[in-house]
Amino acid sequence: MTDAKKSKFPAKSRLAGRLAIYILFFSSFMTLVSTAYQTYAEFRKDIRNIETGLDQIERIYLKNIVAELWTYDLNTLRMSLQGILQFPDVKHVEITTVKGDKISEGDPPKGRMVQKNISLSREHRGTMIELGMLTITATLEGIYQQMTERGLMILITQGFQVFLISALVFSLFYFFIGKPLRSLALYTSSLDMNTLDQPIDLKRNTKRRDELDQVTDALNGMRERMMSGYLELRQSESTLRESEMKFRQLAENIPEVFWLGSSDWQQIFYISPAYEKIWGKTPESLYQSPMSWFESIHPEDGKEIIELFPVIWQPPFSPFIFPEYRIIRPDETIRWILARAFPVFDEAGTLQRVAGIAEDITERKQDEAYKDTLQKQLLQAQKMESIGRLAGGVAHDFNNMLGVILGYAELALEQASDNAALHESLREIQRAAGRSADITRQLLAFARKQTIDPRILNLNETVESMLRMLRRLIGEDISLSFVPGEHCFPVKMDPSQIDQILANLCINSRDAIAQAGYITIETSGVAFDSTYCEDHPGFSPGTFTLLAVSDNGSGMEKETLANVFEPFFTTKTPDKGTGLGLATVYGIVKQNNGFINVYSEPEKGTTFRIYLPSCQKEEISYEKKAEISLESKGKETILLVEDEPSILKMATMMLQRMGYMVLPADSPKRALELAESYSEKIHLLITDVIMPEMNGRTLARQIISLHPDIKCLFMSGYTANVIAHHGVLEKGVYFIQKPFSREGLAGKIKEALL
Amino acid sequence: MIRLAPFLFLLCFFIAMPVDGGQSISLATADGPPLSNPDNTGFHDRIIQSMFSRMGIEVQIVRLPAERALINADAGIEEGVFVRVAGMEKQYPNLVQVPEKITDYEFTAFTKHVRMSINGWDSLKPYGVGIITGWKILENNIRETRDLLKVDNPEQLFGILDKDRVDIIVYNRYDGYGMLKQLNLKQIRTLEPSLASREMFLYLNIKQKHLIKNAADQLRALKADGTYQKLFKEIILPLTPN
Repeated sequence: MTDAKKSKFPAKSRLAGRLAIYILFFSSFMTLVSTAYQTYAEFRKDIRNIETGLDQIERIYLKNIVAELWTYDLNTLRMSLQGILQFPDVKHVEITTVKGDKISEGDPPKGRMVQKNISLSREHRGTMIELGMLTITATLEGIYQQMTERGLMILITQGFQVFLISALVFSLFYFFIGKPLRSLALYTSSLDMNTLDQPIDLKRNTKRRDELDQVTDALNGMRERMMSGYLELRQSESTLRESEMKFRQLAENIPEVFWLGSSDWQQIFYISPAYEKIWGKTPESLYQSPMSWFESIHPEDGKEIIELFPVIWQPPFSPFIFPEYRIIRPDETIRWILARAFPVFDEAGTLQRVAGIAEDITERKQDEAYKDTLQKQLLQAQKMESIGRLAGGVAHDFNNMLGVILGYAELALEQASDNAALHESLREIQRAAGRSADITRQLLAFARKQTIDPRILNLNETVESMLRMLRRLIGEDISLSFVPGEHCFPVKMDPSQIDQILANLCINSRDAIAQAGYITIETSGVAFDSTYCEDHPGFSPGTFTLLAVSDNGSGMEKETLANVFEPFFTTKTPDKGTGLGLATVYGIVKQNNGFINVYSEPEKGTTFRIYLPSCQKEEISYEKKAEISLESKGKETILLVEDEPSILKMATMMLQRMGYMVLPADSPKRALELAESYSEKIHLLITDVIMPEMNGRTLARQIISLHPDIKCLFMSGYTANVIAHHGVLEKGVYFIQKPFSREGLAGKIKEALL
Repeated sequence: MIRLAPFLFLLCFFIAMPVDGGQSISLATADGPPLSNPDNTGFHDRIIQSMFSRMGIEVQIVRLPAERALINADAGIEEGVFVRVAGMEKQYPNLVQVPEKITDYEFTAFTKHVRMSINGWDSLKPYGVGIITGWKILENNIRETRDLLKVDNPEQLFGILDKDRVDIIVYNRYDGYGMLKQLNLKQIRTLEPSLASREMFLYLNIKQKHLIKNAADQLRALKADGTYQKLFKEIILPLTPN
């Protein structure tokens, strides 16, 4: 129940009573005023009468009094003054001569009075002579008494009249207006949305319509309109609520900030909640200080934005895209913003407001930076790949030639054992060819064309076994320390590649240290999750074994660091470096699915961190290789396939000297013919990999179909994925890198035949 | 300022210089015929005119009621008044008496019916008496009479006596003679002796004080050279009852 309903009218109409009281008060007031006015008017009239009387006195007596005063006939003068005293209210008459003599009649009245002074003068010999002053004093006491009596009488009669009228008005108003009004008030006070359908009926027993009926009709009309309006309002509210919900859903879920402000940018009318998410400040703060968004702009970008302001918003107004800028949030983090502003015109086409949208493009900018890095890495990888492919191609042919040189050098050495000078020359040839083979091997390693024989390794043990060799490599002035990690994961890779990595890194460190210094090798187990890898381009999730090599050498500049893994890039003098060391390391790491990271500061030192992927548990099985005796002579039949005649000839001679029965073939076709025609068992197929007609693997497959028990040994300057998957040999597949020595070849043959 | 001093002195002198030779003077009088006439041929008119003509001053005679004549002379409206008893300067301090009397006033009782000898002012007490307003000697001495009636002028005075409004009127002897003749009142006679006699003088306003001595000298000269007596015989004596 509403308050209005609670309110109860008293038995008597308040309004009627109030009206009666008002009439009473007003009438009393008016009575007082009119009484006062009448009394005052009467008073004024009496005063005027007195004044008129005084004027009459002046008219009647002045001439005589002047004459009497002129003749100084005091008796007559006194008689005249006594005559004046007979006038009503005149109580005192006095003549004051110019000399100061006073002639008076009557007594000066007490209390309120009115006086009239009349100058007495007479013409004498052409000059007006002042004779004196006639002062007539009339009392007002009589007038005041009359005024009081008259006022009281008027007051009493009119007061009684007012009381009667008030009572009558009260009764009439109560019965004709107050009571119906009360009914109307009770009706309207009890009216609510639930009772809007009940019309009001005053139940008046009169046929003549009056204002109250009009009020009743008006109320009923209003009730019907309210009912109609209420329904419309509810509909509007529902629509508005729906619209508001849509707007709120838009505002709260669109990640971009959108806003509406004044055309002079000094007032913000609306800003979406995303402002707080992006700017880190509340919308209220922006409402209070509309330019506070600008204060968040990064100082490096703010100048450009503020310089734009005068030119942004000039006629003709058109949408404007701000340059991308950064903001610094209260938590000091930086966000990239892309903002656009749009003019809002009124119906007359005048610029009224400014709308805008601001987008957080931080992720996009990060993605762009990441893509940029990836792009660079891709370019770098492509470059490395191209170089590697080139190097691999060169190395293949070069290895073939080196193989011939080395092979014949060895054969010649055996034949020139008696001639020391010749022997020594041949040894030089052999050493030079060996060094050349090392270079091609490095090239192949960088190009990841190096054929490897990966094994499960305990990196700590592997490094430990190399320390002696490394110390010899770096010399006595440099201290080499090894800090093995306790939780290193096993890795699967060719141990010779660990040798290559450490040797190259240590040599680089040695050359970076001017005199004395230290090199530290560390290992540890590390794990990267996807989040870490997102923030560190080049890293990939998983568990790794870290192999870090640090020195306190001269360090590198940024420019040097950018090219450090490129082949033939070197800061060393030509006699000291080939530029292949770090390229080799890079190639090895990539070939083993690891990644490498270098940190260097000029004059402080350099740290290379190599992350090698940990080996899966199921792979961890250490194979023990059979002891191969190189001393025993061979007696098996070997089908030798080589398209390079010189190598074929040289290898045939080597194998024959080892005691093997050799079936030389200068092409795959010839080899197949031999295999078909040869009735005896062929124990081993030694074949080049890259050949004009078919590759070595295809040939081997066909030969195996003819001689199922035959073993295969591939030889190549590089593998080119023919016999190995990404350079890694499959089980049961043997490989020897060109150029090879006689011992190397013998060992591989024994291994394959075992 | 020093250079202007003689000029200022002369200016002050001329401003302060009284009316004298070549000037005119107005003198008030309450006298009636035969002492003063509208055509200035009364006894006193002639005496005054003779006095001031000898001084080279023209006289303008203004006829006023007795009290008014004094008031005006005192106020300087007229420059003098004649003829009045001695001592008027006490009541009118701006008046200065010319020390030579012009005449003697004999305050004489006139009656139609009363027959008695006058023996002082108290002789009048049993009677109704009439006098002219402003005659101080009469107002001061005639008290406690049976009735006292004051009138404005001699015509009224002799009128009330003639009509028996009063028993006795008191008036100046010679003026009375003049009035009796003028009004042709034959039944009225004097009661002897006179009630009082007073020397009557000319008074000048204090501003004309410098004329006093000369005026007195000229009056004495009139008396000494017989002009005064000649005028008396010419004007007054014919009015005297046989």
